[in-house]
Amino acid sequence: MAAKGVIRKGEYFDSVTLMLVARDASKIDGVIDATIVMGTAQNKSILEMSEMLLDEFRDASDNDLIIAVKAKDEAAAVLGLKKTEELLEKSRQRTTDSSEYMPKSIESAINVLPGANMVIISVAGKYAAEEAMKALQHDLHVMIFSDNVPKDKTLEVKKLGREKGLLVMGPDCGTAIINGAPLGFANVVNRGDIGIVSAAGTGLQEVSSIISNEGSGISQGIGTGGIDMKIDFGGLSFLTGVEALIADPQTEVITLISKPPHPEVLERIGEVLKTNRKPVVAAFLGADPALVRSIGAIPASSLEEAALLSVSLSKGISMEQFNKEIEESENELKELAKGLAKQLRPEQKYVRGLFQGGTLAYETQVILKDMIGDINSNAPLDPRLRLADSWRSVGHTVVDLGEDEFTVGRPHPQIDFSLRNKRILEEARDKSVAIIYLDVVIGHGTNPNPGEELAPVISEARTAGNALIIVTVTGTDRDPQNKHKIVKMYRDAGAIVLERNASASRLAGYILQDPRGN
Amino acid sequence: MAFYAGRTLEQDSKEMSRGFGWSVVEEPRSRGPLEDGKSLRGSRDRRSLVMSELDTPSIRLGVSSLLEEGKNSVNIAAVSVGDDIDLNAKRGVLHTAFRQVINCTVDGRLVSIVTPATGSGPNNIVVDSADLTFLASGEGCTCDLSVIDVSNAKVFDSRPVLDERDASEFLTSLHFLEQIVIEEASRLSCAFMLDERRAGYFSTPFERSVRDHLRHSFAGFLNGSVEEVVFLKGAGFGLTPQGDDLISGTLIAIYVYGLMKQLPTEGLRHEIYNRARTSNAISNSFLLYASLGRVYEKFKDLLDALAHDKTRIHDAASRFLGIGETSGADVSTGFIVSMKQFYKGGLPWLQKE
Repeated sequence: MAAKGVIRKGEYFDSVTLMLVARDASKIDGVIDATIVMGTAQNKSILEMSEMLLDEFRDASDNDLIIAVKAKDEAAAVLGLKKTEELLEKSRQRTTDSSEYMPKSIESAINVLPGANMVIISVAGKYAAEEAMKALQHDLHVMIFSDNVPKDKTLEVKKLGREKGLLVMGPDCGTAIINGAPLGFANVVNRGDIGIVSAAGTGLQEVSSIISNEGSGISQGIGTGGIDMKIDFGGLSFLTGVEALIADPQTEVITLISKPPHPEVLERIGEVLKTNRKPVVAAFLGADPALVRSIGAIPASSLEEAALLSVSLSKGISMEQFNKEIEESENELKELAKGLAKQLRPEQKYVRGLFQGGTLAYETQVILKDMIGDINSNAPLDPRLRLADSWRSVGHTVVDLGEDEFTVGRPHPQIDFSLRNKRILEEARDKSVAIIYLDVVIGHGTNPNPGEELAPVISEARTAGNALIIVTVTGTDRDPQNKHKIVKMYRDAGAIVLERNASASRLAGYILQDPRGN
Repeated sequence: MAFYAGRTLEQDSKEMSRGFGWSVVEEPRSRGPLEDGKSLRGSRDRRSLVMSELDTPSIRLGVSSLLEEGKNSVNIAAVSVGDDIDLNAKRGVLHTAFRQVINCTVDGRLVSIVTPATGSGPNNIVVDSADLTFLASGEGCTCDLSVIDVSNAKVFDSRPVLDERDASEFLTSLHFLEQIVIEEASRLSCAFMLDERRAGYFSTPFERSVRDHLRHSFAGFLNGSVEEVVFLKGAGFGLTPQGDDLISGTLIAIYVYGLMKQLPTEGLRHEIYNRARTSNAISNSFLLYASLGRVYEKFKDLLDALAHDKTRIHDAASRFLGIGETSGADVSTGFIVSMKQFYKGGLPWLQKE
């Protein structure tokens, strides 16, 4: 065993660099231990205990940097020290690289990257519109991640964007995929020929993920923020998005996602589509299919159907074949439901949906209301079904945990699972609960360990009561969390996992339509 | 009501020299013409800061100065200045330079020029830039006052806004903070002192030695022996070693506990500081301000959330934990462990007397 080291006098590195380099140095072949610390008396004492204190270190001062390496032999120690110093040098180059320069204004950002044509704005809502106006004045497209932007300012920004033919994604636009780059909460999906305009963030994630998982891909995923489809804002951003996809040579199929737009907004979309020759699929969740057909789009009743229809159109699969496949998978779902329903006790009657994604919560309500009746919620389809207390379920309940009442002072539920985990266990102990329904949205920006965070809670909930636990996972195997791995963990924990929200919702519906599985 | 309203840092320093028999090392300083909370717009004492090269190498950044004295008259706007910044000082010596922080010493005390992301502090000048590397010259510099324009800057008041009425809420909030630190602190931080399961993150022999040293020396210090602080100071990883950060956390805890229980703690804080100070100017600066009950913006915000608004604790804690690799977590740990002990059995050092 041998120790080598060096004192760097008057050199300073930030703590992050020192610790990362020391950790990397410990992994060098032949190195037993390595560290980089300030030459204080106490650190020298710790080095001595670790058999890494060299004689020359005794004179080091509080302001000197000590690099020490202990290795299996002399040669490994020399090499280890050399490599450690190289690592430190590289880290210095990284921190002084001009590419790390962070501009402080839109103007200086343009100077740094003159070819840029889009700006992402994430500042306090009251300042966002001003920044967006600056961007538009420089002929840049805009994605506004911020929420709570004043309505009048929002309208000004959207109007200017429309006049200039520039995209204004947002405010409150959490998801987009532009030229293959996932922005905000987005998934790693295949590139392809299906373009999406969506006024629903998790809706865009769900549809783009299903498309990718089915082997097709996304040309562009344009988010607009939910308020865009309201009459006050006239779908201004949505219209520009649709026009962009019509003009985009990479886009062969156009997919539109939203809650039902205001009739006047729908009419305007129809006007824009008059010039279009590409097939259009529209999932305006809960809207009258006849109205959707009237604007020249193929209606889809769910996000899943919109994605699968788009894939079929992209791949040139006939509608006949498409319908056949849908029918087959629906029959499988019904059979699965029968088997699961037999596990329930007579007193188990209700579904309790605890959602991370607002659009998914909405879609589940749209599907379940036609199958099992009224669904109470903190974000209900019918205002009369609003929960008196969002923290307490009543009958069939769907809770959107992304609503403000749950997110004040804590991260979004896609990041922080703790609140929902607690609620899962509460619901599991309620003997009237038949199904606990959970969505898990993975991808960039979301919780990095959704498997480890939720699987133990599923196991505990299964032990605490007899409720079935249905989980749907939105995402892809290429997401940082890996969908396949997450699905396996939940199944191993005792959950029934379906890969699409609409299928999972219908499974819950079928189970509760025939709770004895007859 | 805010404690210390209308008081100045000099008053704090003076009080530390009275009544307890401990000596004062830091001289009270002149703060210049600023008044707390007021903008400097229109002030005649418009000043700025330029770095010119000297022969003494003190940093190696690998970037060239864009602002050599006499070649450029560009002004950088300051957003805020700390309440311990001396506007009469004309020159300093560059100490260290990072992308978001330039440290220089003025009259023996550290002044930090920082980006808005770093935030305000008693000795910080926050400038309107995301990258300060252009302020640093290649091979060591002095700092001259001619580029940073403070005329529109606000004065940052570094005194925590707390009083005795906050004591009951504080203990509950502290538990919440503890859980956040346990969950979010970086692996090699001192958060293992809050949850033993984190001790396993220290995997190399040296890391384990550091962990054990920090554990034992901090326990010895909190056992009521001020002298033990010398075994803690300078110990551990980082530019400001972890032991120093733990001591800073304890110093702020003593200050906060003293406010809430209306106990005189100035002398105790000063003695700890005197024993803990080293020749590391950055560490010393943090220790000094902690001993004076002066805090940086992110910690002030955290204290405010702990005392007055639980809904903000998570956000404030996350921001504070983002300081350095372990510094935010280590200061937090020192603060939490100390506060819990004080609530349980009072200030151990005063009881031993």
